[in-house]
Amino acid sequence: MFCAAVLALKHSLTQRASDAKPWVMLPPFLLQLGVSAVLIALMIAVAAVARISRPTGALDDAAVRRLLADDYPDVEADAVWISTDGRAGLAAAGDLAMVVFQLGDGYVTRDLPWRDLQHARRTGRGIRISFSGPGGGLAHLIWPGTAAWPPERQ
Amino acid sequence: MRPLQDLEHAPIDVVTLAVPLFVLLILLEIALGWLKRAPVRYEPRDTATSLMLGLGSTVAGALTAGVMGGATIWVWHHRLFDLPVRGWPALATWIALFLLEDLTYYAFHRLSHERRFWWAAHVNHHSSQHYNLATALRQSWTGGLNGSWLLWLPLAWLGFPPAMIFVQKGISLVYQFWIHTEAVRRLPAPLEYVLNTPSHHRVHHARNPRYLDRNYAGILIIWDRMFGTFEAERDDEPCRYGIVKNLGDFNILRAVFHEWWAIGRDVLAARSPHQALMVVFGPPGWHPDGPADTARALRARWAARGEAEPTPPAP
Repeated sequence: MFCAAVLALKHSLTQRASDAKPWVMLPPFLLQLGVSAVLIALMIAVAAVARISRPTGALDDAAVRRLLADDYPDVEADAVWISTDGRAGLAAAGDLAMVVFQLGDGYVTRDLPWRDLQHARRTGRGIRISFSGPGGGLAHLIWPGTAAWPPERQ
Repeated sequence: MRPLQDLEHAPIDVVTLAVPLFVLLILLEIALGWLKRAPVRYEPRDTATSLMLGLGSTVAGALTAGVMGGATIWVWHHRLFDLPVRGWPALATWIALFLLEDLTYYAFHRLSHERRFWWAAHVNHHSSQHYNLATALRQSWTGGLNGSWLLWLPLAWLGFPPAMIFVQKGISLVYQFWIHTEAVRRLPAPLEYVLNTPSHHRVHHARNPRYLDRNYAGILIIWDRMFGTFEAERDDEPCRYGIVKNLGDFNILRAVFHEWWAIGRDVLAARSPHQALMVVFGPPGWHPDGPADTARALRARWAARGEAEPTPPAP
């Protein structure tokens, strides 16, 4: 079978040379698209290898408050809880829950009524809060299984 | 060299010609970041989203190019003036086109930020939390569908050949590529005064209330200075990039369609035809209940809080 394939390839290449026409005719637009896709893969690979993302340290109380202050400047958090991996945080402000979670090397904030936190999904390691609106998002808080959810507020 | 009349049907595609330059400059920018020679940041998934949005926009653009090109040629056949397109007099035509096209771009860009129907198509260009050359390629997929290209038709009606308009639009787009970088801090003051520069455009991509809806320029920043939308970048207030409510993932389809989805949701929730019209054609962030989150309202609330102090960078 391998020999047959080689012979077929040789035949088609010979044909191509004698006809002086391209072996495969690709519309220029598709060719451009294909080359672009290859170049995109190259650039993504180089960006990944270079490892030049923003450094993101573990969140603490002050960092969560600062990030929330950017997006909710008129709301002051009463209390803040941090995911044990430092990649997400939860804050309470009256009836409002505000969530900060890491996305890539940036952060995203979302809010929901505090009472809706009880509908968040328990996973093996913590809590998943899914945001189904147009902006989407999924916050994953590493939360000790023994700790109350939603957290108790004083 | 082909006369410009022939170019009506076969214009030079400046943007396609510049693609190798785009790739080389992105690789150079990454290299500068890797060598720590410039404050360049690339996050691989963000980069993938930006570049895939760029690739998709070429497909989307090809689907609507026929309508746009046909309309432009039709309008040009009903033009007011026969502008010189040969020899030295053509230089005056090019200069006039350069200025008028850039002014048209300013109007288009301002519309694309200040009215939600057009913002829905443009928002994906701003949804990255990064500002680098890959962000420049984060182009719209739905921009051909919202009719913003109609803004360029008056140029054809005035008598500028469609090919010249197409070439000038390409030049503007290619110019705007290189300013999407943090690697260049400031240009010499006279250039900063006249041209749209990396510094001015960083402000445009920032979500700090001070910087929201500022610096709409394409090539010349003079339009923003003239029309009161200019804001200089401040060293004591670093730009925070992205949109007012950042996206929650790197999903390409979400980046393209999330604002259209939000418009549809808000129209269905509208309680009157006026509300429905406002959620479609009002400013982004307008909603019927409670305080608006429009750029103007956000800036007013920020000013009322008296936040003159610099914003600390995110961790």
